[in-house]
Amino acid sequence: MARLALAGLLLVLTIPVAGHAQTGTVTGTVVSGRSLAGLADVFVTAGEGLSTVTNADGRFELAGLSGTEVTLQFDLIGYRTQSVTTQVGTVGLRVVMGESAIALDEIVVTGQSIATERRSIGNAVATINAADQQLLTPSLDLSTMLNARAPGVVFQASQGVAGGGGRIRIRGTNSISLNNEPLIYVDGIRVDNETGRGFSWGPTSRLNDIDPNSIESIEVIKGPAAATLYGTEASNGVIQIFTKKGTPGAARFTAFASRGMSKILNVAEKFESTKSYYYLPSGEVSTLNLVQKEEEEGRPLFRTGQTQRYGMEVAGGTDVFRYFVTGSFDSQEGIMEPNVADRWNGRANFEATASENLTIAANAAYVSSSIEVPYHELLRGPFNPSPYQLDTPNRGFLVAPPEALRAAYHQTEDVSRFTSGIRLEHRPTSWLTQRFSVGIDEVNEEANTLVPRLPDSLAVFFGPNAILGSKTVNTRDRTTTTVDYASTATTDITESLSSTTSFGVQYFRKYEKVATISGQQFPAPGITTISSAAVQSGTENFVENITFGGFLQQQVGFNDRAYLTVAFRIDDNSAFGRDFEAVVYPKVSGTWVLSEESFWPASTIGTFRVRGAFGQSGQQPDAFAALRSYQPITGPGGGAAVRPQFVGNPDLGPERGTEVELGFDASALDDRLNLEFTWYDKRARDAIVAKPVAPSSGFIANQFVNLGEIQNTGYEVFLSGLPVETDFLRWNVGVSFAQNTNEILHLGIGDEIAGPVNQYHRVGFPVSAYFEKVTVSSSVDPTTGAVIDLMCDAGIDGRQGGPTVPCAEADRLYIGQVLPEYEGAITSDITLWNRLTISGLLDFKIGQSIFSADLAIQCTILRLCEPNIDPASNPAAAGEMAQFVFGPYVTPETSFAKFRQVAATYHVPESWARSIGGSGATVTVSARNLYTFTDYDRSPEPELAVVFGGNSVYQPAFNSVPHPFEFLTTVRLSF
Amino acid sequence: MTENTMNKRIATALLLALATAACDSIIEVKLGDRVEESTLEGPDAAALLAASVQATFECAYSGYNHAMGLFGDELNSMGNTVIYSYDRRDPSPAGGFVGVYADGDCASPGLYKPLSSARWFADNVSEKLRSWSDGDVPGRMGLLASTAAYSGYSLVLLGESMCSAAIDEGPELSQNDLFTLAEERFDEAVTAATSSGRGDIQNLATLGRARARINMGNTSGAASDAAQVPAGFAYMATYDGATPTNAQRRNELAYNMHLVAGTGLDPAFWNVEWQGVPDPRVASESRGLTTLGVEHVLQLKYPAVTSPIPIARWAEAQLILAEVAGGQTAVDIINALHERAGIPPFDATGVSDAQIMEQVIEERRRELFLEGHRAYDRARYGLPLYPAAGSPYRWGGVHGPATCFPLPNVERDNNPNIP
Repeated sequence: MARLALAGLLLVLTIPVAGHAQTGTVTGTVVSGRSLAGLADVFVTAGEGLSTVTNADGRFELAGLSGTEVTLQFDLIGYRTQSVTTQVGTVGLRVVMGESAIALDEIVVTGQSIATERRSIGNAVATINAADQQLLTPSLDLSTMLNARAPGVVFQASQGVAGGGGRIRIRGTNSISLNNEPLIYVDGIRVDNETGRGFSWGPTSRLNDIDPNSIESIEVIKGPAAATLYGTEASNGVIQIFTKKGTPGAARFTAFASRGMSKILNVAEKFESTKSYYYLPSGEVSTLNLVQKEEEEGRPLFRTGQTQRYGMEVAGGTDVFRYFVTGSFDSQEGIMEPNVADRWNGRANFEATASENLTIAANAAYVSSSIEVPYHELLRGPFNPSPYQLDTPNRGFLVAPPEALRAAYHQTEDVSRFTSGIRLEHRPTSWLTQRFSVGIDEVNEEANTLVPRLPDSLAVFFGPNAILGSKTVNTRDRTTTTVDYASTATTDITESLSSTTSFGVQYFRKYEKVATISGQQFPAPGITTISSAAVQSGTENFVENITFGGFLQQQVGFNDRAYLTVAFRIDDNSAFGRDFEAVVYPKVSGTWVLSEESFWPASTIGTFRVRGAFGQSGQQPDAFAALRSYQPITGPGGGAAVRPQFVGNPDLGPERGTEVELGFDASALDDRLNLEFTWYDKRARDAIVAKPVAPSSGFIANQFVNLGEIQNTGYEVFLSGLPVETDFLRWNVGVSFAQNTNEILHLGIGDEIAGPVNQYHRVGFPVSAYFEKVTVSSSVDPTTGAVIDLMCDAGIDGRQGGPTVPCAEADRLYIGQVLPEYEGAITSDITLWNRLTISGLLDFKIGQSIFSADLAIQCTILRLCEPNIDPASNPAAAGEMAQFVFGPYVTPETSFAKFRQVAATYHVPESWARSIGGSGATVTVSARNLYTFTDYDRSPEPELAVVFGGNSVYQPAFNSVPHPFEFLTTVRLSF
Repeated sequence: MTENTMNKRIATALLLALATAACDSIIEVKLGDRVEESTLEGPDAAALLAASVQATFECAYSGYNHAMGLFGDELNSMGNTVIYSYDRRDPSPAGGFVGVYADGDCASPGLYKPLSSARWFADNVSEKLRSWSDGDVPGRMGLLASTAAYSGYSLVLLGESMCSAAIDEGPELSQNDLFTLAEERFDEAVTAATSSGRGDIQNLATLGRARARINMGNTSGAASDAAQVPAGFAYMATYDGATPTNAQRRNELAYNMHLVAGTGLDPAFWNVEWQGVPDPRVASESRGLTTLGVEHVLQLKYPAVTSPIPIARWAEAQLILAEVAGGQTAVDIINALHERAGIPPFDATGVSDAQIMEQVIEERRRELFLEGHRAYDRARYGLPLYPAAGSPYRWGGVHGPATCFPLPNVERDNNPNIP
């Protein structure tokens, strides 16, 4: 078979014989060369028909052997075949299998009608071995786990808040007005993909509800070429999470415990970058670093946060019934009091082989979390020190000192979430497979903002009204329903020609109900219910969206080496109104494993596969956007009334993503060096633009119109290798690199649409790029001290570098883009003596800029920056501030590289583990956010922003908690 | 082979069935908080629509008074960044941070969009009311009088604030064009109010027409309208929303000064007196709070978010008469107003006509304090900008020279009839 033909060098790695068992038997453990974790389902053969497979711990026992010496062969997809010669009767043989660089026979599910070998798929699929990664570099949440692990998948961290969110962008920004988040699936069930929820300036993340310890692997498909079968809504790619399953065998228990801490190192020094410049009464210039001042006076603004996590899992089963059950608790304290995030997670996965041709799987997960988010104004002190209030009760804090803010504002979010799915797999005949999945993801979120009734002494900060107290409770219940049927027939047409025909029908429903209740003025301190408030109010609303569609796919294979796939999907969605006809999305892809052809020369390039794919998918607005409608409002005397809101657009259709993807996979040096390269060109056609309507038409809200076209083009490179592989040292290294160019090709309504603050959608530039007048020089009037002679860059085609003109005549020029142009990571795992693995991750993002609202407030509004006080120090910045515009000074480039993580995992010898009643144990020590390389020096760190989810393109750096250095010790014990 | 073909046939048939039959019913969803236009098309909706026009206007009017108070000399920002561009008089047609007046939200405060929406809605409902019969809609002419009057006021306010504007995605209109259209709406309102016996609307529309006329320089027409307004007449925009935070139904002047400390009274309106006697028409009070060294002084005219704001009242009519007539008539009117306010009379002995006119302007400043007149009065009477253009603005930058709001780009770029 091809898989065996593919196997590379057979390298023997054995641990010396530990003892002798009864005659004719060899027992042992097979482990992964990278993570040193036991490998299940390894096929162990001794020739002469004697074989066995390893259990979930990687253990095997092969009996019936004769003679004194035997050569065993170990096979597993994704690993290089191993041969080991040992004495018959060996007990505790330890076999280490190296990963094969290209796993063409690895099974891929995402984007396919049925689980399919990678070799037949014409598009790139990124697979993250989550279980191994979690063992070597434990992550407390899923977003950390996804960061920098797949090229082209950009995770934008929000801020360093425990329980905080972030967002994911795959292959650039696709849409101006619609959602840019990828679809998220868990075990075939679509789940809530909102990554930024919660509070206006402290978003939390629904992605992090998923327990990273329960994940086996993650697959990512990156765009319409791969995601056609998902149809409408899949333009931004799909991330599918596979949770762990049970394997036949006795119950195996694994307990894990982590303790750690987080802290900003050299915090006072870091906040030198945000200090205020001001005049003393004497006329001298002074500066104020409030973080340093408060620390010196014994009131540090940041603390050391404690982290803990405990959990247990059990897995096992028989040939007909398998189970995996896990539960965990974790608690993270943020560095800004009172930030804390507590989370309880539970999951039960069951799989039953009901009959020879029917498998039933049922999964259920429950999470309950409670987060207290620090009120964003607590960060005002560090970012906008207010020197003119030093001698007031404010102590230099613009709004109020931290103890007053903590007494006044309490923001908590409670979430309970239930995700469950049932999956049937039926093989009525040898050539036909049917699968049917039905699932539901139900998220119940409650965000509370409470200002208790405060003592009168705080009125000086918050005013006489605010101290009477108020409370707002926002609840959001979101249900995502999936019904998915697919059927696949495979036949061999001739000896060399095979056919796979699939069709499927899917139904997805999102139903989101939001309600807000609020109250003002509590009668007395300590009373905080809305029922007791003097003024009460409430709102309730819902949004429903349904997609219904199906697909038909035909794949033809030639000699298991070349494949051609043609498919189309047909979809209808509720957002487009009753008159809308269903939309059809086509797909064509092909792949050819050239290195398996007879003409392929015997060369150092052992595996070479080319692949190409073309496909379409869509994206649509949530609400019923085609319809002209009015907004209900309160009328005179508290009666009912409406007002004009949406002008509607009966011609609205979906945004259509079209993508071409070409690439190759190659491996050399006996599978020890692997290169994957992918180029893509993705267009969002009929891009839906929220077009402003002329106010004279009477309608307030923007109108969704299919107008624009957006292009994302770029390439992704993944290079991995095993440069050193010896008995005592094994070094795995991976380098990923992705480039993305984002451009609006046309808008359909003029050349520019305004976005938030200084962001604009302009033809010829990236979506939502930063634009402003670029001041190049100014001078100071010697008598008045005013900044005059403002000269700006006239620009060339909207970009900087033109002649200098008076600023009054200058236009806005391109300053920068939101997403990085280049991003990537270097990972390195060094395994010593087959016991200790040291893993490191360095990631980088290059070419992105950020609008710093912190700087804009500091320099343009409060006028406390150095150029305000000493215009000569930076005449361009002083000129920018004199014009009251948010130009390059407050919108700097934030390219950086971060030494993100280093961890050491030690596999305790089994004899030690046994001595404490276990069968295996690991100890991991890890540290995150160790060092940042950057030129950006106007903030403590470059990766600091308030990142909203969904369709938001706004991500200012504003009152954000810096990402702390984190340290974590984890012990895992199996028994 | 045959099995495969059959499978394909089944698949195709199923897909076709799905594409044709199932789509429409299976994707049917409910609308949430949106009211479909079709539900508002019948005469049954007449009363709801008329109330809605009033609500839409009142929402716009509350924001308008806040915005114009800042743009004129009555109010200042206390550090609320959103309103800087009003206070600094440098509104930008580009929108965004320095073009809030193009915003749709009454509470931002938006100006052009809420007024345009109120105007369109009033005209749209007037048209529907005209097309229905009295049998369909009880009290139809009374409702029409009110929607026509609200349209007229929306147009007057657009003309007094905007340098130019458009209606119904039509061509760019000058201030005079807008006042002319307002006059037409008021004509219809007066006729409809007279025929339906709605005296209050008749007075509202008559005084509105006087305001439009005097703005256009038609002083005799303005005076004849103003003279018809009876003593004690007042027509108020009502604010009675269930909660202070209901931005559609609250008095923004009270909300932004009494509930949140975002807006303060300009020193020119602190402790205003007449011959040593406090003028109750411009009552103010210090909050005893400072924001970055600036004292926060409140108006007391609208103490609560439910305080109504006058749209038209007898004193305004009297001051129009005073302005047109001048001389002793004006002095008499001024003194009648003083007597009503309980302050000493204006002594006109040896005072020139020009000085009397100055006093009329001063009386308007006091009598119509925070009623949406002052900013346009400054422009109409050619008063110098206060603070002067180019003088430093407290929160950064310098004061601009604007006396009206330029047509925002959102109109210019999306209106096919404006080049």
